[in-house]
Amino acid sequence: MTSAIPPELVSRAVRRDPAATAALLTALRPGLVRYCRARLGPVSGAYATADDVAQEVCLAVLRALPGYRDQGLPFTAFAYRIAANKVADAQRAAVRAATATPPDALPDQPDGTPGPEQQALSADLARRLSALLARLPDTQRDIVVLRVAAGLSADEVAAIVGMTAAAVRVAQSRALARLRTLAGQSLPEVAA
Amino acid sequence: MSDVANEPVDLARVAADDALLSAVARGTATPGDDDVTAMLLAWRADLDEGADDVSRNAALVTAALADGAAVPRRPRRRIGLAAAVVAAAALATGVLVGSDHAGPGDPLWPVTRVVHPQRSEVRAAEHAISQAHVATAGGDQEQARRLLDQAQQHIARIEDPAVADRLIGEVTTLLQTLTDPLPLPPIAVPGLTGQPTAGPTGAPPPPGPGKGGAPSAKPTPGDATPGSPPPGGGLLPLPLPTELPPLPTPLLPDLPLPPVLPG
Repeated sequence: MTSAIPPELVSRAVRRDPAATAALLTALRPGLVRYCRARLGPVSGAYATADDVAQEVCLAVLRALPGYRDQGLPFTAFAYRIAANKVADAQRAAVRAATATPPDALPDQPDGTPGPEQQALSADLARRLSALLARLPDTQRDIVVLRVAAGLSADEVAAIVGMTAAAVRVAQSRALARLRTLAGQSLPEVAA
Repeated sequence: MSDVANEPVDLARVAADDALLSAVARGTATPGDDDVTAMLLAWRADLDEGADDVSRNAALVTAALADGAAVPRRPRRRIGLAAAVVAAAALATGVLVGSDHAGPGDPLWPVTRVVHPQRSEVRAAEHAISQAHVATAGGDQEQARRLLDQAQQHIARIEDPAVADRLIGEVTTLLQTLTDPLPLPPIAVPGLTGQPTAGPTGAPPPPGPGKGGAPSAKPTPGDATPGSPPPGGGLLPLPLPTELPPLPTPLLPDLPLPPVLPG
């Protein structure tokens, strides 16, 4: 379901084959959308902003395609570096906007919309994980986002973050250990 | 600083965690009694909702391919140029590029705006108009009409009302020189052509009570149409309110010719 985009598909898309370009986008897009959502989070309970950024990322990736050269790195490294840049742009823009106009509502306030219990529970778990991720070191957080949200393999993530695959595996294991520790600490207050 | 960073690496743990993350990403993990696994699964499911919506894919592909081989190195500069080139090619062949069709409110509209920024819309419209002049000079009225129609489609996407008005004026002027008996398209409403907004028909009387406003509160039909009247006797143009003309956008999304045929 994830990654492992066939190199021949990429090279056909680089040659501007419309069908290959469409297939490439179909393969890439869900991961890019989840990645942007994970990095940018919901605004007012919805992912519309993140999805807009994801749309820009998709377009930027497709536009950059003619300049892509296979140099041994997985294509996802190319795509997700573009995504990381776009997300950083969006975050800078958000910071500028926030300093220009003080926000009325904090984005991390609990969503007041009532829903089915299961959905609420799940959403609560998801929000708790987002909060815990924010307390990880940057690299560990990036790795977890790329592994789980984008759905990339450790090898692909290694190419993106500039580490060896082994180092990624160790780092993600440490990230999980830290998340478990943090979850254990935060459990009582969340349950209360 | 981290409590776990300096611990020795437990290879079995590393392998298990790697497998766990892969399973979460595939959606095959089972939460068990690990809170973090449950949270990761919930998080991933939350991120997943509607993430595979491909409804805008076709637009992206069209937009990216239409953007031309003109290279992503300096996108800002070249996008406009590439779009103009594409537009020129479309004009020359009569083929319309797919992504050009999106209008405001259309799901493709954000993409179109990114790929075809305002400047290139203006350029494309200007180019079409100048080509229409050439076609008119060559006696090819049909081609001129088609070019003007394309120009209007570009103009419809221009957000700056002043620029759009200027270009509409040029289109209208040129349309009026064409001798084809077809009535003018909807945008050729009196008041837009040359004379500024003091339209004779629909201008509401000035509301100020004490001011000595112009007493012409009544419409004066005598000078209603500066151009030639339409051929069908009963088909005088409707007196549209003069606030409307600057935005012809919703009037002509897909209409190559006006719907009214000569009697």
